[in-house]
Amino acid sequence: MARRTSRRMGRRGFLGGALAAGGLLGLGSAGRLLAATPTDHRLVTCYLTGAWDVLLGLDPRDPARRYPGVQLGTDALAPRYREPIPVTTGTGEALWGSTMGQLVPHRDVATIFRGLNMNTVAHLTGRAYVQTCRRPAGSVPRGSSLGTVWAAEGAAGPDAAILPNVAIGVESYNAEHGTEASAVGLARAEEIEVLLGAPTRELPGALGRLLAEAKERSESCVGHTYREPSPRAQFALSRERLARLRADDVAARFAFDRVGDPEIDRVRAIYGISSGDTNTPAIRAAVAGKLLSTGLSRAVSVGMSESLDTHFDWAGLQPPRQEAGFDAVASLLTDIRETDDPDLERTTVVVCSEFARRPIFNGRGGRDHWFVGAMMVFGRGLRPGVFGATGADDLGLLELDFGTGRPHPGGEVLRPEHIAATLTASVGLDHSVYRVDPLDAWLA
Amino acid sequence: MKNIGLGAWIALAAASCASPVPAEPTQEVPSIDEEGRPEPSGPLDVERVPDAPAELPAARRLRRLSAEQLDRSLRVATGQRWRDFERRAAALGRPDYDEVLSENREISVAFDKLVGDAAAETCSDAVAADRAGAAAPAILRHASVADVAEPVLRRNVSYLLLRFHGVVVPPDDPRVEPWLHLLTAPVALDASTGEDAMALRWTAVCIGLATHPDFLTY
Repeated sequence: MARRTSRRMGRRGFLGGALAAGGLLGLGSAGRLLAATPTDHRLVTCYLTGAWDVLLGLDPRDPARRYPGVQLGTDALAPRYREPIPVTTGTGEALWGSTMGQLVPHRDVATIFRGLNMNTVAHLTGRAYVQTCRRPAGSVPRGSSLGTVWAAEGAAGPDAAILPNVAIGVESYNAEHGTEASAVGLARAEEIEVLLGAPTRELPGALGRLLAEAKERSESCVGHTYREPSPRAQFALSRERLARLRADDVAARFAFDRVGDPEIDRVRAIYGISSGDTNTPAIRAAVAGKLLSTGLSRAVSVGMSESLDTHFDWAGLQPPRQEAGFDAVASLLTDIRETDDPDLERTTVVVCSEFARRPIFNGRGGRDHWFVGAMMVFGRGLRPGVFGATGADDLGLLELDFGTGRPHPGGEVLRPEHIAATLTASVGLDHSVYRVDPLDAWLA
Repeated sequence: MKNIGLGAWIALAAASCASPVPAEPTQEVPSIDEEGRPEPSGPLDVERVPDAPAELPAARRLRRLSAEQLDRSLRVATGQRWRDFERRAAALGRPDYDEVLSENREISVAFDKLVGDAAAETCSDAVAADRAGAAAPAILRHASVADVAEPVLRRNVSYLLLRFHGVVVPPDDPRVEPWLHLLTAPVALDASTGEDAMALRWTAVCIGLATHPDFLTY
């Protein structure tokens, strides 16, 4: 069972209680409803579920060459997926996978990490590891998701993001931070409209106010001995936030099937959303983009693909599903860069999966699990380019020089902890929980 | 040799039986103050819980109802089923065991919003069913929508506090007052009849109790 403990009351809990105490009195002032403070750095974690094939994505090979321990399967692929894409970045020319075409325009802010030791080929373990970047205990996650870490350091009080941390179709963990930083979990993207919309049945206004008074005056016998804010305080805080949401009709901004709204039309065009689409990677990415642009959220974690666990029919399923995920990420980046953060100075987008797939085929037209993964980061906090590498002929782990990011015998093996430490250091957050030094040479 | 070995074992067993059994360590039961809080019984080992208030012992973490628990609890309390439960269960934290494997037990904006929707629907349906003459009224057990006398209202509120929160509260207890005010406050309601207006007020009481921390958390 995932750990969702929030043991510390600390500053966040105190502020939450203080906000709750005054929250009901401040309901009439919508004020800074949607604005996160400009200095808050945002994080989007795009999780491509099921373990991606990096040979089609972040760590491809040249189909014109032969690699003794790697079966590219080029002939089995549809023609559009046969050729990787040469991309010039900060570290020179590199190959990007054939499924990543839509991401190329964002190469100026892209950092690819290759040769990432996920140390597991079990989905649950890899999932917990890649989302917290801390080695799990078996399959039990330890530590908090990156999104929770981001959300916990955001502004508190009246100017706080109303939904600081949102997870769409993916798990989120909170082991060390106050409950305010815990993710609001949505199974499907369209549930955001239910969350933000009006109650399904509303009491008349006067009665609603009387009810609010009665709840405020009624006693509660739960909470006296808990160290965290009382349930009354926590509910009061969430109700104040709900009131702020309704005051500005925020739900309408997420109604992507509405016609005649120029902003909705723009979103549909950027993300390629068609009428009737529900819960596609594009819809999920659009919701993530709106959560950031409205200032509702500081961190959003999104399950960005259908399952990539292609033990069978690798050629038919892996490429289009991976491409759909990468296309959604590309649309998200375009949206963010067009609307409020052109240079990604205050937004980081992480693209990851729990591990990778074997470089050789099984006997059923598919690829099985492989522990050497990869990760991609978009944002100005890191140097653009490619960090790390895998064995050319076997997709194996290599020791690396962490200063150059190039293979170096006697160097270190890259782990998720290194990337998390680097990302948190890049925005001035505490990276000590990861127990490794950041990749200082790769901080922008 | 065998007899000697057996004898040695028997002797050892006899010796262990003869030795006094250590007494069970006694546990000091903390005394309770007037407000139901445990009183500190001397110096506490604050090193054990370094980030907790020193005057309170460590307690388990607060929990709210799971999605399934909420559905069942509302059915028991109101006698009505929330028709949107299956559509909203995932947003309430029920895992799908595909992408989400663990039950979400956090109090959140999403949970609060959906609980409000669930309470509004089930409470409205419950009051309507009681008005239509349900065999075992869930909300209007000791009062009807025609009743406005305070003793009658108090008695029914007292009953509802027992039904929803499991607390025995005498009708004249101060804890009845907030809900009584909801039933008697002189506000104009957009209802066709006085009985319809009382039905709305009882619905509001039901919603208040079903969205109260004492119903949703433990």
